[in-house]
Amino acid sequence: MPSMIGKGVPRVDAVAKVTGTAQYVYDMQFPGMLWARVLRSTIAFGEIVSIDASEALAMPGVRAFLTGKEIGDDLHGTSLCDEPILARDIVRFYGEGIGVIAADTEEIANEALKKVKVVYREMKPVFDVEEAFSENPPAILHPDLRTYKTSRPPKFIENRPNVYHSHRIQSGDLEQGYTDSDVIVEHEWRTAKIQHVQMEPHCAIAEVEANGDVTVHASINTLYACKNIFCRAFNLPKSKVRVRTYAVGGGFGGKQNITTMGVTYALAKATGRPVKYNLTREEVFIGACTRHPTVIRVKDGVKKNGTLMARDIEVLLDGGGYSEFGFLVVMNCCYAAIGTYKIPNFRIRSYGIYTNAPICGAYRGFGNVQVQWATECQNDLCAEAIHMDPMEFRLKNVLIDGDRNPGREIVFNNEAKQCMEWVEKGMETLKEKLERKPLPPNKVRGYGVSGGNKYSMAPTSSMAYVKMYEDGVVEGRIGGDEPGQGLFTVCAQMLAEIFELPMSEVRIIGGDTQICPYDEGSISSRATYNNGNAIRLAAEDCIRQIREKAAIKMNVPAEKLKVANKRVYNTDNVLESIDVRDLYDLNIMATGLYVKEGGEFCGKATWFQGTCKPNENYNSDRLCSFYTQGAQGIAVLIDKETGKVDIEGIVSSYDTGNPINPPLVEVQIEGGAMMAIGSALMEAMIMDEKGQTINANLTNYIIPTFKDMPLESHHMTNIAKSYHPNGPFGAKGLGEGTMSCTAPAIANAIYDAIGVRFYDLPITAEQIMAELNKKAAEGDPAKAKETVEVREPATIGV
Amino acid sequence: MVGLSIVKPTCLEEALALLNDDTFVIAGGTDVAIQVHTKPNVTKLVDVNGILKKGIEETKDSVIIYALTTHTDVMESPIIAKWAPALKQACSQVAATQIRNMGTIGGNVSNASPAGDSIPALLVVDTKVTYVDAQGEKTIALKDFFTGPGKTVMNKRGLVTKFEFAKADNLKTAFTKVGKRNAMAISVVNCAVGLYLDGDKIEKANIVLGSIAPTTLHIKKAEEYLFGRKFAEVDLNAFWSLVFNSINPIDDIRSTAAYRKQVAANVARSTLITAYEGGK
Amino acid sequence: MKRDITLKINGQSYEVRIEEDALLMDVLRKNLYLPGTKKGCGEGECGACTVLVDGVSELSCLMYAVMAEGKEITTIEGLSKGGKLDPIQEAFVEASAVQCGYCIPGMIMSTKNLLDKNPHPTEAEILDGMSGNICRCTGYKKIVDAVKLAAEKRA
Repeated sequence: MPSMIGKGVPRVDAVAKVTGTAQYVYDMQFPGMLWARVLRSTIAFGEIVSIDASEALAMPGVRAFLTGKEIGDDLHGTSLCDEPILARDIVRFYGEGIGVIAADTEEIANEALKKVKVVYREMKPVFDVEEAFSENPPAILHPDLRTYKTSRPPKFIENRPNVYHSHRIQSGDLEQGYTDSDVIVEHEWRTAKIQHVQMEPHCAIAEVEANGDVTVHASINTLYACKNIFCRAFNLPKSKVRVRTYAVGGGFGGKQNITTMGVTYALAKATGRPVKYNLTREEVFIGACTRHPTVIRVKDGVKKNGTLMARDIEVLLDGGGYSEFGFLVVMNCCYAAIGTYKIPNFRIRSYGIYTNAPICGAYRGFGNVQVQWATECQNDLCAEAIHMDPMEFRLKNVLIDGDRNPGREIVFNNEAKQCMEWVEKGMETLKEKLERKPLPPNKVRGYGVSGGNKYSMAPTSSMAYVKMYEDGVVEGRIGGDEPGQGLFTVCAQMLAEIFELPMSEVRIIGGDTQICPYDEGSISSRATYNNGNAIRLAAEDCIRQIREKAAIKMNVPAEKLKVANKRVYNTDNVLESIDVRDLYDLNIMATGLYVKEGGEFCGKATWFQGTCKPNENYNSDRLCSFYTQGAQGIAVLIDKETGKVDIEGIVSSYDTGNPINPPLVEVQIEGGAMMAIGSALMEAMIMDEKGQTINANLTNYIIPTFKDMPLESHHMTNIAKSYHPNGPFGAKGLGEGTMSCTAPAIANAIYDAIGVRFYDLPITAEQIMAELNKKAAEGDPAKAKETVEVREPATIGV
Repeated sequence: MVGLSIVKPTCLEEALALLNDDTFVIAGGTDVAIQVHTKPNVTKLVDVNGILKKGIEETKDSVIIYALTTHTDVMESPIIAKWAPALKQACSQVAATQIRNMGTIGGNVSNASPAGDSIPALLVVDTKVTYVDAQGEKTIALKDFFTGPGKTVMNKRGLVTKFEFAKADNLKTAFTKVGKRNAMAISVVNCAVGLYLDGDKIEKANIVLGSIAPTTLHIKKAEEYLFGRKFAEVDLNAFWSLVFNSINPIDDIRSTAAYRKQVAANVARSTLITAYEGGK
Repeated sequence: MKRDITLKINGQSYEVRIEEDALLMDVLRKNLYLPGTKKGCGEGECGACTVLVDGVSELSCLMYAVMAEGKEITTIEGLSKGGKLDPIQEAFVEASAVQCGYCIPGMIMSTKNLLDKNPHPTEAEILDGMSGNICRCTGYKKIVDAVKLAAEKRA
């Protein structure tokens, strides 16, 4: 049997997805089902004085209306419980849910919403993260913050009332590091508020049975986390609640909020009928989750020989109205700065800050992509300051196995150097291809590179069941999610490998808390590593049971037996084997097989990835499961007449351990790059002076299309040779790291092309024109007559 | 449940009788199905499929495009490729395939968006538009058709039936679109240039910019400057300045006034060069 | 206002009572239980709801169902025949062009529109022909591969 590991077998869900038969919650309808719509606030900050839904409730087909107070939930959160399902007395951002309606159709619910009357008492909001961070902010979003329930104590900052959590990793002696440096490079960097734009909008259907049992079908990417937060919010016993997911139409970290589950549950309870809530695309922007805008200050000290001596980083994360998964982002964004480079004197401090804006939470990279936007641009600036090639600078400082990183972790299975070297060569190939043709008039080309990493969380745990059916087919059950990355396929490949079966004879069941064991979700690039290990261990347990049973039947010691292709073999005599069916007995009806004692062949296992306890500076031998490493080179072509940037070429190399399914790895890398191109050049949610998001649609919040990607021959993807000693078959994870290199590589390429350094994302054509104008005015007075004042993009008056 | 009624008249007269401030004419639907969400007064859609014509015809002296002709029909037409390549380019840069398959030229023009891509390309070939209203059929120059953003001389009481432009062997055209991305983009600026040439002398020039004013605009000063001039004697920087100083765009969600002003002048200049050197 | 209409979908006639202003997308998904046609934005920007109307790709979120009467509608459900995948569907499976899958039915309908018209498209023609469909997962490269493979399979 050829190995199934490292094979590009088709996804297990591919046929269902290409025929339109894959099930998504957004598509589902149940008999008797009502449709929910959420009433959303039209102010950014203030008190709800009254809500009058009497006119809406009088409409034919309207079945219920609940206010935030009537939902009956406790405040919830990932660690800090600060968030209601719907606002009760206070609204904290424009568009926050304040009531919910259930009606026979979605259209009736929509019409009914228009008839609800709300009276507010407005308060002065705060939108600017630095103002919100200050000791005397214009608004304090959560005056009761310090009394909220927590499951992990937040680190508040005295006198900064809007800070909901902070974190710090520190090592060495910064002052000494700067003293020992020849050059200091210090800048401030910013990123905009962006949204995941999963193609399937968020949705849920809740059913409540007469005995109080609750089933929620939801499009989420953390099955058990959502269930647990939901149970805590409604004070429901874990055994009474079943959460199910199906094919999830994209997650990227953005489907971890329980709002849809909460409102449908409350309405189902109130009406006795199944209730569905599908977010509109507009609601996905304002009512789901976004990526933290950031202000990041970095001070680097470098020696002339290229040694990075010191790096001090301060990260302000604009968290919006509630902390949500942003609580953990505050802590975990810090790993970005310790994952790739040796820095003997180091500090990073991060702060999660409330503002009157839509909630920010997990977004592919969990804060690490923003931090690396700053540090990877800084790397280029450091290299320039000492006249060194940017990649040479990175290679001089890159961590290799056996080093200790700035968090004092012992580095192992780190192939950053290999990735960088591959990209260096790949860029030569790319340049050669691009430069065969002369540049079009008014165009200028540039090249940029970046490194990048993403840690994966620990301590963490996944569990699995593996069962063999009497026909020899093997089924794995996991609590991990399948939002598209291919988890079920790689787990099926592992089962096929272990049981030496073709892919058609194995399957994975997931997405149901009633029949699948605990897992911590498709987050933190952790799914393959943790679910894969759990599947591997459960499969071994299942095989142990089969061998023990066969040992009796065959009278051969169990340790001499091997299970393969639905048979059990004596390894001392391969001609001696039995069919797995022979391990069963025929029932009295002669219709089926059963195992006479010991139960079905059903393995179970827990995989637990531990860490070493950090000290007061958050230093430890091991803080994470693993680091995904990567490097990328980008070629840009800039139109000097329009300021437009085209991505002409991408060269990527990522270290994801041993790839279980290489095409699935490649498609993740290519997809991450595309998402990051959007974040670098196009995407920003724009709020007006009242805090209303004015581009909450795909017409004005634009994301890359087919025509914004380079030609295939200019787009090279490499998977580094790597094998993680603790990973299943050597695999690590990948999803988030794929976004880490791209934005800095683009900014570095733009700098190479036009000599202008951009510090804020996204980099727009308007900004490029403005900078080109400035340069033209400085360099050539004659040209200055074509120069005009260019302002920032308008945020008002549309 | 916006509660719209959708009526399908069987003849022009019946259709015209239905038109008022609270009706929308619908053909391809690509704009209408979106606009109804922000126009609560609109209660009725008048489906003109079946009463207007579709297709492109070539007569001895002119090209006729009927109102229901889709953007895809235009971009695939050899007649358009021969006589109005800028229009082919413009239609092929509208949104993407599905929208081009649905959206009609009659609709794009009647919608009168200042960012509409087919409009500048139709203007540079001196298109005449024919429409009917209660007073009967009228044919006017397309440049006189628009009265404001979303507004035309028909005042919501007429139907565009066809477009016609003269075949000119000496006409060279080109079109440029500047969007925020390379597909599915609304023009931040668009520009079409048409040059009637006598050898290397410009007999007449049409320089048209979109998305920089309430309606698509001919840049008259730039056209006058080119009039009668040999191309080699055109001072491109002077041309740039004339365009730059003729327009006064505004900020909106897609871009800034200053960016539009500069880029409009830049693309007017580059499109002029393309039309002369590469256009047909 | 309710209206009774007859739609011809995937070669079969459906009589259905709908709100007069119901969109074809909603009628397919909610009334006829054909949810292979996806709703991604409802505003004509993402292409997930692409169907073929008289053989040509159109957006069912911008089309009122009453206006689709008398036309041949083809949805993703109508593409595979007798349990056998269409070559385009096979190509998407084999090229690893699928991730979350939500955009894929629309992608496949756009591929069909493209290849029916232009059986051997260049890469630039593929990028243009597919650019009305947004995918947030794949970065498009493997979808381009799938379209190329589909063209080979149909040759």
